[in-house]
Amino acid sequence: MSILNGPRINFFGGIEVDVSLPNNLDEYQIDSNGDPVPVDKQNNRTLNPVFDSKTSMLTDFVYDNNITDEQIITMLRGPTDSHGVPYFTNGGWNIYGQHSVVTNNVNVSSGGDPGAVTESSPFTGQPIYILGSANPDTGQTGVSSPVMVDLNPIGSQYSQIVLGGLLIGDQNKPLLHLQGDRICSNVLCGKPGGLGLDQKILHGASDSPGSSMFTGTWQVTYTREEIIACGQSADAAANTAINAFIATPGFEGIVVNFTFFEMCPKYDTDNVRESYNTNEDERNPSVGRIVGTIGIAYSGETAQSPDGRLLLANVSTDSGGKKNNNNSYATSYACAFSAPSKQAFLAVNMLTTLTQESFRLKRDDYTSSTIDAAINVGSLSVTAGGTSVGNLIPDYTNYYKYGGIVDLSISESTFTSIQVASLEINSASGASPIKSLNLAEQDYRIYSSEKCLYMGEDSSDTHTVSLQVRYLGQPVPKAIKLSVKPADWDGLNKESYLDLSVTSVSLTEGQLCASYTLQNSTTAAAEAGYEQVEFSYDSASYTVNTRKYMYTDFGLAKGATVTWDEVYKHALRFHYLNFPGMSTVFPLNMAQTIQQNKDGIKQRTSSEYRPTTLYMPVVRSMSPSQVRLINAYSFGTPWDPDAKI
Amino acid sequence: MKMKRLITATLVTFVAACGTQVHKKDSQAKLLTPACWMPVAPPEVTDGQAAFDTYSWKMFVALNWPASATIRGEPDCKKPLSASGPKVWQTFKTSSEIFRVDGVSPGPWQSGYGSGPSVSEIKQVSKASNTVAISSHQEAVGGWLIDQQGNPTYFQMWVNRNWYNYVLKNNLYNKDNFSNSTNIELPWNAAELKSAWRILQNADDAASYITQVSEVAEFDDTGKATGMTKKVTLGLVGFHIIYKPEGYPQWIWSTFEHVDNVPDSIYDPGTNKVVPEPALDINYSYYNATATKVNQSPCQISDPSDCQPFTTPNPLTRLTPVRADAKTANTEYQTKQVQGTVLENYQLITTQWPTQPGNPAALWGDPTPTISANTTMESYIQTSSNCTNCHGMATLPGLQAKSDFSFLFGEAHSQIIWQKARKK
Repeated sequence: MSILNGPRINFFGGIEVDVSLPNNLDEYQIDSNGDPVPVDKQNNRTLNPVFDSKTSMLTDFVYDNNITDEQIITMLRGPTDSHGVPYFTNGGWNIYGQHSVVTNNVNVSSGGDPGAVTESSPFTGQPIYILGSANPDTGQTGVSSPVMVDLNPIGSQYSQIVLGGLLIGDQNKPLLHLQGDRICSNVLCGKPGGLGLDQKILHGASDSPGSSMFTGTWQVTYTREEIIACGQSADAAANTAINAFIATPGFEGIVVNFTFFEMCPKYDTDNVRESYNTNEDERNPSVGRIVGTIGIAYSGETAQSPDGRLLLANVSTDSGGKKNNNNSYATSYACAFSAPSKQAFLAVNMLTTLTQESFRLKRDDYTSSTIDAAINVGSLSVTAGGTSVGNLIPDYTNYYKYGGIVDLSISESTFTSIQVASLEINSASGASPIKSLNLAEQDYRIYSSEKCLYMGEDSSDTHTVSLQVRYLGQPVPKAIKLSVKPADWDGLNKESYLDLSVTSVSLTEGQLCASYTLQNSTTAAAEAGYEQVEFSYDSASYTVNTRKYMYTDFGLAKGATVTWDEVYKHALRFHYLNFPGMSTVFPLNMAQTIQQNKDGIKQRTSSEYRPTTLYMPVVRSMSPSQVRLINAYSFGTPWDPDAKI
Repeated sequence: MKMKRLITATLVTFVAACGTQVHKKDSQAKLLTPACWMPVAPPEVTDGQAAFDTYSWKMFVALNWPASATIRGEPDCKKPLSASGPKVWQTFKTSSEIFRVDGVSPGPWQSGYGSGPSVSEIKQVSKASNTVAISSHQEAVGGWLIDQQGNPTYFQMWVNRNWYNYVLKNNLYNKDNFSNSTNIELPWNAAELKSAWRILQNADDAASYITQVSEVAEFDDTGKATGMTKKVTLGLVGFHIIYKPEGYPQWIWSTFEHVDNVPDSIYDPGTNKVVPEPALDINYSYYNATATKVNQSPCQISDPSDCQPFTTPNPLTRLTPVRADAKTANTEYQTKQVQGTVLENYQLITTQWPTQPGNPAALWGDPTPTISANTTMESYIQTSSNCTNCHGMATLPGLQAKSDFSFLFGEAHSQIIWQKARKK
């Protein structure tokens, strides 16, 4: 609830997400001769398997037909439809991406306490940057960017951002500088299972993936100990204010909650084709808006998912009386709070529910000082258990300057009454569907800081998930059991390497959280892929995505000398072709460059670097076995499939 | 090889008012900086590619101004651009002069210059008389490059005073001191240059090249140095300028080539490929119209020790056509600003610059354009060559401390090891 029930620093600006996307698919339009096949996008797709994203190797189809790297690169760069017209493959929007996530012209737009947030706060105008990690060995900062790497590269709902810190103000005279490594997952709660995409734009960008209509939300929390500089700016008022901010009673850290939207590739098809034709090979990051809020992390709060009461848009009730939101397109979080001698408030984060009618007109103008207004649906009535709480009138024009958060002052009696009743927020009836808004609370809520998990390669490996469970934002009012079962929300999770023999999680009355230990099954070692686990109760559910790497010796005898052909086939080729942007640093298909960079490769594929942004983005798809193979080749050491990495 | 050019040096009237070096970064400074001095004030990021390409040409002109006879690394602004003698950058310090094999201090920047030998003799001292001859023949990636005459291409690195003095002040000329350094931050206006040279033959029009007479190492058929050297006239075929003007901590990366290296190229919609557009009257140094395999490393991709004979030419084409902004700048300079000087035979290939130099979240400042390749120095990785990205990996050798985009520290030697070897 941090960003809702305490002092806030709101910000907005531009964001560039430069994920490399050749491996957005495993199958491509390529024939057995290795030639690109014209594809009629509507019919007769001729697809053959090229990549195996689960094992991070190329398929037998590629080897059986002697398809070359050059043929695959040509196919990725130049697909055409049946009329010979160039178009992007799903994976072709950004072939040369570097995986970086870069804030651009992001500044504080407002600040203050709930009910008194103002654009004239002492923080307003200060620049904000999300940062990459400090080098674990040297402590050097500014040596990498935050990166985005999907847990499942061919899925659409597995995004993760690796962050190394946050800076407010000038890097040489910071107002606030936090440095700490975090891997946070997209907060997705719009559909059963906790998956889904929050739609914010009714009409997306042209010549762009459908994701241009949706949002992604992330949250990260830093501890007090991770503040490495505070109040050192040239602005005395801002220094005073930030010192007061971290001196707030109950302060245990800083929480940063931010949302991306209006995202689309910076360049359109014609731009990129022209760039590829002349071998300029420009990166084509997805660019858009970032809006967020910095708040205070209080004791017991969830680090990487917003606490609060979950309101879902356009909720219906099924025949069994359960609330469904299968047609939902957005979520809100609400929090009612009160303190002695202070005004009570109901604060609602409506950032993604305030819908925008259309995409910005100029696709590369994502850092401009204004964002399009949200659709004005008028005054919103707030009810709890059917009883009126009051009316909310969001600032539909400037909402993004306030993090999309709206404060409604309430009386103490209302504060008390809404603790035990479902919230609803509705626009006036009779409006057209696109000009209406109906939010209803999902009474039970299950959530967690953990969304995307890498399971260890061994059969015995475990990972404990901490689950938060609430009823109307409060501890559960009775003993309940969450059911646990495998899930497959997008058809990509066919594996069953997890031992899910424990099928429930029990909570007693008044409990707030529980835990569940995910464990690889005894036969899991040789398996690779993805598996989802769903925790559910009543209409609430939450899904954890997992990925497991394959443990293998690649058929090589222990102690053998690893050859270039072996290391390239088993470990490097997939990553060379899936991450062409890496070649602008050094190519992965040349024995010379692997040898030249062996020390850096070993270090930046090591366990020590894994939590950091310096861990090479490409190797988050690389199994520990593949890393071992590269090290054995690079250093000429005998092959050891169990070597420490 | 010879291309007749109308070099009318006597017509050159590139006269610049020579005055005090301007250090202020403001619009006034831009106007006042004489052409013989490095343009201290860089463009703003909002000025765009064309401004940075013009900036590259200004640097190229200033670095190639006739050098002062008395002050190392400075121009003689009283001389015209076309005057003979060493260029400013040829009086900079080479990497082998900084990082001596014994790891001891290389002495003050000015040492051995001015009061002693004349400028032309200085050149002889550093090239002909120095025990360290030009021996580097390896590109960053892919091995050596043999021109169409069967001779290797040689490479040499240079640094300016700011770069040099930083190393001197911090005792970084001795590898033994690296472990005490966790953060290398070269000063504003530091410059690092990389030059590529080919051996000029009688058939070459030497007047169309920036030249130097050097002792160069000789190699056997496998590319192994024989220990022998020979005195040759070298012609400059490639030139990287790596400059760190104030406000650009990721540096600005400019690269020039001699116009006779390879033909211009263009995208051909018919073949869906970039194809060369050779001129009929030019014998290109690195292009062979009949070659079926071009831009191929002489060594096996899977085994860098398995290579073609050292004398087998490595034919090249330009895989990324020179961009329109650079072409415009080239035309402006070749036909106006440097017309009639040897510089008219050189062309800017790209200027790579950080679009977000002050953004601590932007990896290496978000360099643009993505691809920047000199055919003589990134011959075999033209379609993936990115100066900033590659140099962003540079660290002090054996350590993880970043070395501010410079690989030159890899040439440093240990004084302790040298002394131990001497005792033995």
